[in-house]
Amino acid sequence: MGRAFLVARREYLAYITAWGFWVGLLITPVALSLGMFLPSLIENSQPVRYYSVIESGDSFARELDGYMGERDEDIARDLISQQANFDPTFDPDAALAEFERQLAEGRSTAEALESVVPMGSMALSDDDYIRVPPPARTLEELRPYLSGDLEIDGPIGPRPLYAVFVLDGDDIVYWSEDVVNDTLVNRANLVLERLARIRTFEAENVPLEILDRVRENTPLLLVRSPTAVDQSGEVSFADQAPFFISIGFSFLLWLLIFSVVNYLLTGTIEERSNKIFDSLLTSVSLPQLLTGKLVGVLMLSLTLISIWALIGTGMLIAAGDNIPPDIAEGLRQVVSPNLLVPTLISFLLGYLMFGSIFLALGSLCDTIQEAQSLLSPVIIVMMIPLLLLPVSISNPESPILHAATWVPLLTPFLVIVRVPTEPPLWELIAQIVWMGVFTALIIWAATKVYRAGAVHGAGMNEARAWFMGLFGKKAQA
Amino acid sequence: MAAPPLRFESVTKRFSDFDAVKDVSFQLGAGEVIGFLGPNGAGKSTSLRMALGIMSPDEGAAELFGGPPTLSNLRRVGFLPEERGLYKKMSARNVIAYFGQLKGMKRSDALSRADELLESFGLGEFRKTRISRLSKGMAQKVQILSTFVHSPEFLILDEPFSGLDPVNQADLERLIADQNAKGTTILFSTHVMEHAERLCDRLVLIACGRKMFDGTLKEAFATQAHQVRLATVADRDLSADFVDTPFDTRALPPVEGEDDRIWWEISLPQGATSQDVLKRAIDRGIAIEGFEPAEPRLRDVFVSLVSEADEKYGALRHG
Repeated sequence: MGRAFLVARREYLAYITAWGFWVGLLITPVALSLGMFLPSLIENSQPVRYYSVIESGDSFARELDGYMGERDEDIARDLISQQANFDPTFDPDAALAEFERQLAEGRSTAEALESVVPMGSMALSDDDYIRVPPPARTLEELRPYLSGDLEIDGPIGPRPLYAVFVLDGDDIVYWSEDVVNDTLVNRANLVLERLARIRTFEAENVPLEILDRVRENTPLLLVRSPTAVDQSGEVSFADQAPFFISIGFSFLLWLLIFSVVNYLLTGTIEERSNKIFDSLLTSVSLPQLLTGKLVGVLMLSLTLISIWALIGTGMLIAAGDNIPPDIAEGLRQVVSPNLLVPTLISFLLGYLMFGSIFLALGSLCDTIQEAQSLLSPVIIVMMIPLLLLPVSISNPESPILHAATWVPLLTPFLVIVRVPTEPPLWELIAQIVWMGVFTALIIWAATKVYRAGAVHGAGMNEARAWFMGLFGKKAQA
Repeated sequence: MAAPPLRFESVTKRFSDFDAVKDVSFQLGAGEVIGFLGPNGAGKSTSLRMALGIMSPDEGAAELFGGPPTLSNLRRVGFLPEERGLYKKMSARNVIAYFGQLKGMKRSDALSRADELLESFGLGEFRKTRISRLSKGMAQKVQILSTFVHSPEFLILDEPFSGLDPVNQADLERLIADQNAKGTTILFSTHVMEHAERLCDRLVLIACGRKMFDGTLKEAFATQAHQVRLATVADRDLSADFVDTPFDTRALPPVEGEDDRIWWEISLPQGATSQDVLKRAIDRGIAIEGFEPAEPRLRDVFVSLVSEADEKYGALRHG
């Protein structure tokens, strides 16, 4: 064991003192944060775009303007309702009443919101689509504006015309060079639906106020769960947290395993290409060498986890009492043994499984380039859990997810995301045992390959010949 | 009586249908310096890897200090592999100490021994330099030192001189002699005969996977017919004078400027000496114009034995 420890120590020190490890350690949380906030960043960083409406009157344009305003008002009302989650002293009913009063006095949505929720206007949509008078009436004349050859003057200076709605009788045509972004089209559809409803009500002599009353009388759908944390059964973040946290754990596990097993690959390639194996093998046995390498890099990943956990804990302590109660309750799920124990077992077995595979592959290769060709099938398998994670969000009880959890190479990642669905205990235990058995098989096979590579100098040609042999073919020299 | 540092008993190793080593037996005495000779591909490295337990024989036994090569008795051995390399990102000092620790040394002892070795081999100022920043010769020295760090009783050096410049080769020869003077048994493989001639007490020569010779340098030379060169007047046919003797004679091409004499090469059979040739010449009344006894060289022994192995076993090596 002492020799395995020495190998582990050398491996650990070799990587922990490398600047690349620390860069990776710090970049990963930054990259993850960016990944989380990127969609809203992209949304908020869209350029302001001009659009025009060409119609005989102005009913469609007016409704479209009104919709934009109402949309902001709805966002503001939602924000006020949810504010109590972040500030237990906040009275949402009083704040909503004040907001409505200010709107009725003619103040803008942003001003009314700011008066009850400071900084709240930041949540409102940017005025990213501005309606401007059409610079021409025919498509031929509009074409240079739409293609950007000519610009149109507007509230924030000259810009190309992003889109134009042309209403001709009952037909409405949307013209734009952008054939991908359908935000404006969706808004227009909602407005058209409302216009159609108004016209229908008018045609049937139904007062339009009925529409507002229909909206006011629409009952609120309350979501309840018998397993909710709240006694009343009301579903809160605390109930959804295990799902989000398990998916987060699964993704982190994936990220962690594939960050560190690369060290095993490159380290073994270095030993092979530098001809160190023979010197090592007169001092340590092959199992000791393998154990030492696996343990050394395992220690490295535990260091990584510890530092990330410390950063996370530090941030939580800094946030202190500002964390809303149901979010705090949800975060407590992180340390729930129901989730933590399967996660730790999955991490250990997943690491050993993929680590052994990477060690074995490294022992057959003299260069990283050689390793790339052997790694391709492994990387494809590695990507499958990532593809299945969205399924686990939308449908955690999916039969596909259920079946995939029994595929040993995927089990470490998928068994975690199934924990919140509370599968039968026997199933969970069976999957973990199966994962353990398969890991043992992989380690056994990897040791054989490692011996072939390290002791007998087997390389790419032998690997190719073996692979071709599976299909009963002889490898080309 | 102490067990020999290394003993091969009818060792055979096959790779598929190729006999890398075939029925090889020999053993080393403590404190000897043995040259393990053979041409490229003779099976030297395979034999050494079996001696060290890196691979196992298919037949026979390779024993270290009277037992199988386990990590326990491998602690008494230092090994320099033919294909050399070190962890390039480690410092010279740390890499030597690491191999010392793997051989059972305490970390503090290994580090101070590494410093001591580096200092005594002129690399003291590079002890904290990464291997990747050392010259190739320096890195090779560091690797050689890492095989000595734990003061082994038995050193196995596979082609230790390859890749070294003449100055470093001389340094290494001195190092081997110094280690042997301290009582270390040394086995080194080489196909450069001059090193073997200068350093070895005994030789084991393998070719085509078979042992072709095992004995002292003197015994090796004895396997070869000794030769002498003798000059006579130009018109003398020396072969007629030696026709009824076991000596083979051969006229050498004329030497420019020596038109009045001719040189003959005379091969001596086993047990004959140059004195016997002189005596025969005098008895026959030959006017001796010149006489040069030619000492056999290890190179000749090597070439002769390897050629013999090729003839006998070359075709048999692939089963």
